[in-house]
Amino acid sequence: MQKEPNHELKVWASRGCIHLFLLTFGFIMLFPFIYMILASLKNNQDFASNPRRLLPFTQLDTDFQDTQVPLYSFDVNGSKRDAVIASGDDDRIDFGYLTTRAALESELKNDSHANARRRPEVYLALPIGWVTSDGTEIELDKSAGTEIILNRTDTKIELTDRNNRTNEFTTYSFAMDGQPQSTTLTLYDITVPLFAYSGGQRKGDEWVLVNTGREETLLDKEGNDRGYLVFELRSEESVQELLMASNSTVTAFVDPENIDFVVYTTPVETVKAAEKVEFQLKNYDTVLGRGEDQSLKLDRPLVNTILVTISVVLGQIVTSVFGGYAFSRIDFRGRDTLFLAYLGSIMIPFVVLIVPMYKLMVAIEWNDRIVSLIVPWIFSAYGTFLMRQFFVTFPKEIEEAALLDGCSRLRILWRVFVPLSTPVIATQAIFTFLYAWNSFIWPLVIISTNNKDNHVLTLSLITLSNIHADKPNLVLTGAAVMILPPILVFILAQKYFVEGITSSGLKG
Amino acid sequence: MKERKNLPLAIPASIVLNIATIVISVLLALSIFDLDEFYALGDTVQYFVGGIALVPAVAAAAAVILLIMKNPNGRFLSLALHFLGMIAASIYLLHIWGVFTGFDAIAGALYENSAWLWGLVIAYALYWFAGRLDNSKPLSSRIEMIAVGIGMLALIGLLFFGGILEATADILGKYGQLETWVVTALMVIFGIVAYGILTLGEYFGETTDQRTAWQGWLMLSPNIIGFTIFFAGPLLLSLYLSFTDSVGVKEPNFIGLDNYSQALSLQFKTQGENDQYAQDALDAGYRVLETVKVGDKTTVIGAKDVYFWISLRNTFMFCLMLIPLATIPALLLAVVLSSKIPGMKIYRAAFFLPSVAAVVGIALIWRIALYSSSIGFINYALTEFTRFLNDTFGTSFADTEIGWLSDTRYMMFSMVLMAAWQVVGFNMVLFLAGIQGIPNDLYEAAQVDGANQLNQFRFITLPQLRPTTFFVIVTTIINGLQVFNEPFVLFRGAAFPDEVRTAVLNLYLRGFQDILFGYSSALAWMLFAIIFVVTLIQFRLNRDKTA
Repeated sequence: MQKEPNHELKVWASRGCIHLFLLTFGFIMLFPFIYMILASLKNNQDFASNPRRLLPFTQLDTDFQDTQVPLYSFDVNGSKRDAVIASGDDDRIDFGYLTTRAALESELKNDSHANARRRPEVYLALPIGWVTSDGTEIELDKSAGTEIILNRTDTKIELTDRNNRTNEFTTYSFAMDGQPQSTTLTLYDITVPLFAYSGGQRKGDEWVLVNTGREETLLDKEGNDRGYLVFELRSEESVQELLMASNSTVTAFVDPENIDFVVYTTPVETVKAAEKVEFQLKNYDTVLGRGEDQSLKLDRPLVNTILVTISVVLGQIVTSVFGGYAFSRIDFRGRDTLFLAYLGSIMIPFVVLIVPMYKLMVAIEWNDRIVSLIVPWIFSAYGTFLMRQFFVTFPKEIEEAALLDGCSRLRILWRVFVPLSTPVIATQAIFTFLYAWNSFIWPLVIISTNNKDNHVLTLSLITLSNIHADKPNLVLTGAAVMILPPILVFILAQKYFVEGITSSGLKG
Repeated sequence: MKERKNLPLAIPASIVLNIATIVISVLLALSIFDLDEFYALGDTVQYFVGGIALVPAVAAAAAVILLIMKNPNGRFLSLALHFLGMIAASIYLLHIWGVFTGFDAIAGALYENSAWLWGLVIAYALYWFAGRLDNSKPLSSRIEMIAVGIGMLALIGLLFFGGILEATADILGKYGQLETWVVTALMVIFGIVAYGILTLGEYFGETTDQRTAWQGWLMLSPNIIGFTIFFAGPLLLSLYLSFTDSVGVKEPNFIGLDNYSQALSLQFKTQGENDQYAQDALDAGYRVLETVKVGDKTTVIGAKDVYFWISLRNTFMFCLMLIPLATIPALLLAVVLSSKIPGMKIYRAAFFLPSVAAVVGIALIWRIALYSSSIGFINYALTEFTRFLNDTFGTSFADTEIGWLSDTRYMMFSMVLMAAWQVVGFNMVLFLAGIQGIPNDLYEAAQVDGANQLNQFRFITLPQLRPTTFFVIVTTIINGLQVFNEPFVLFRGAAFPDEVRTAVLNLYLRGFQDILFGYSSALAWMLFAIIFVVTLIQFRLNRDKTA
């Protein structure tokens, strides 16, 4: 009796394990569908995000200087700030990448064009030109002797790089030619510099960078001369000579509500867009032909597929019910031989028939026509077999009594057998539905690529994925249009699926 | 039974109609023989079809004689002929009316007026709702009436705006031609006379057996006609084409077994010292399939059609990898689910879901969501995992971007994995049914003997499931041998890589890209032979089990 709680715990634990296992597997089975639905509601730009996410995000826009511009999100001093790209030319800074002579030389040996931006040997990146807000330009690179003074401040800022690593960075205040600039500078990442404003204060270590105005010539891989500007970096302990390997531009981002808040960053791709979750239902409009892009619409193929599927299902049920009834309830000579031949035909794969069927369709001019997807498919040996297996189980008395009463066979079939066979008819209808809806190789062969009016969904989806190869959201929307109806039918009629598989499958 | 004195009108009518049938079928046969070109199918098919067109003439002649002799078989023969005549005439009439090709227009009309379809949907929903209410209440019947009204209205709107009037006018316009009148008249006459003959059961002294027989054949007739036209006919044609050199719209020539020998020809040669390349060792017409090096001797295997052997190897590889991936998880899941845990139906539905979706759609999803080397989740997970390992343990595993669909080493596996994912739920349901069929007292006895769960699985479930397992594996093989959609959609591009060229894909490309219809048919028959052998093994083993 004392062991009871322990035992109960064990049962619960094992049950939990089973559920965990089943849930994991269920997730694997459902993941592509979840992805399909969520991705079909995404923006086209939302696919390469890092980290990957399933929910559809949209970049936020804001009104800035009377235009709609995208909004970006920054982490400054631990708090989140949104900013937009400042529109004026003033808001860009040229800056140079400085590196040691040795690093640059080894770089030139490997690469004909030294692209110091990518190299970890880059020592320092600093602004070399500055455009003030009133338009006067201070040129750094040409005038020898210009000094840039960097002072380490107490402010730390946290930044996230493109690999999604968050780091804290020391900021430096920044003075040029003795004039303190209203900018704080952060040695963000050696390869990806970022400058952030915070109204600098002089404090701590002081570094001085001097443009010597000298130019040094190095030989590149092809033996061409290349000139590089020489800077001197002076701290309290040392003086170091650096060469400017390359220069480029940083972009300024401003808070639309408070223009004084500026964030400088480069390259722009490292900036995280300000986003919110938004479901792009318009993808469905586009794919179904109600959007601006009319290049490929799935609405006509959808109607075609529905027409084909309904016709095939109805036709197959009628012929199968008649055939199944005759094979099971009416005894005549030759019936069983015929039935055996029928059963045998199930074994023959469709691929054997594909060439002659194509030839037949061409001969009777049904190729490229929707009728070729319907009429040849309304005769089903498998459906007939399924019906026969079900009808055989009925007691013989039902018929004998009805026949004595003078009922015709048709009447018996319609009044007695059909109402009693709804489960098996439903099963057959569902499997035929799936077969017709999902069929691919036959439409591919018989409907030509150019005849878009007669395409069914499977064909159009292939075309869609070719045309919109660069728009995965639209391709997946198309896939959803194709896949969701069968899933809906499956959810509504689950028990017939299981019955169908278990009853027919194992007997075959 | 009293014999009637005067001859029923139907008998002379039938005799006349049979004579007409003879005339028509002879004329038809002659016109077929007379054709210069028979749909690029060759003289043999032309004579065969023409010969078939003569069969009704012979049968009708026999029927006339038998009818005059008052033989009951004459009645049946006439009945069959008139019935088939009526069917043939009505099919031809539908053709003249343009009903078959009119499906395109129907689809177009549905598309243009799809708004009316919503009326039908609403009507159905209402009707369904009314059926759920208490039947005796007047409200229920009123809603039902409204539903029927809406449905009728929507149907009328759909038909009217969809162009039923134009369609009718179009059909009536066809009656400006004599042909239409003739065919319509033939259909009606065939029908009336067939009915007239049918009612003469008493006159011919019909037995119950005979009555049952014609009823049976009548009910089977749609199936038999459909199967003759769309199954048996094409099957024969396929067999014939596989012995010809049919290419495109060229008249085919009979070439015997050449297609088969072209596909099956293999050559084993040792690469001599004079042969710079492996190709040099082979005879003309052969291409290198494989080179095998044993010691310093290099054996070159050449084939006339390299693609055939490659596709065969790929297909076998596919099946071989698919079987464990598609059955073992299915069995495991079925065993777990059969232990009556709560939520079993939901799990079952979730696992089964992939099997109802189209492979085309599935493959597109997998191509983007999972297999894409840049935005796919498999590579993303691998990247994150390697980074996690490197960050936590200080290792330095390289993060390799695997080209699931572009690297030839992974292509086949990618295909198999997706196929297995799709079929595993289906197989699981089969296993579940099998497990439910195991008698419970076996387990009870085992429990009394103190067997644990694992032993119960090993010594009861597994052996008892043998037929099911066998069935599942055979189904998997048969479907795997016919794999087409997966490689087609996953690797669609400028050209399909050799690594994913499966048998059916090869057959399709041969038939509809290279338009080698004859050769493609031969490939199909060889694939069928393989499938047939697998099925035969299944039957044999199944019989052994039941015997």
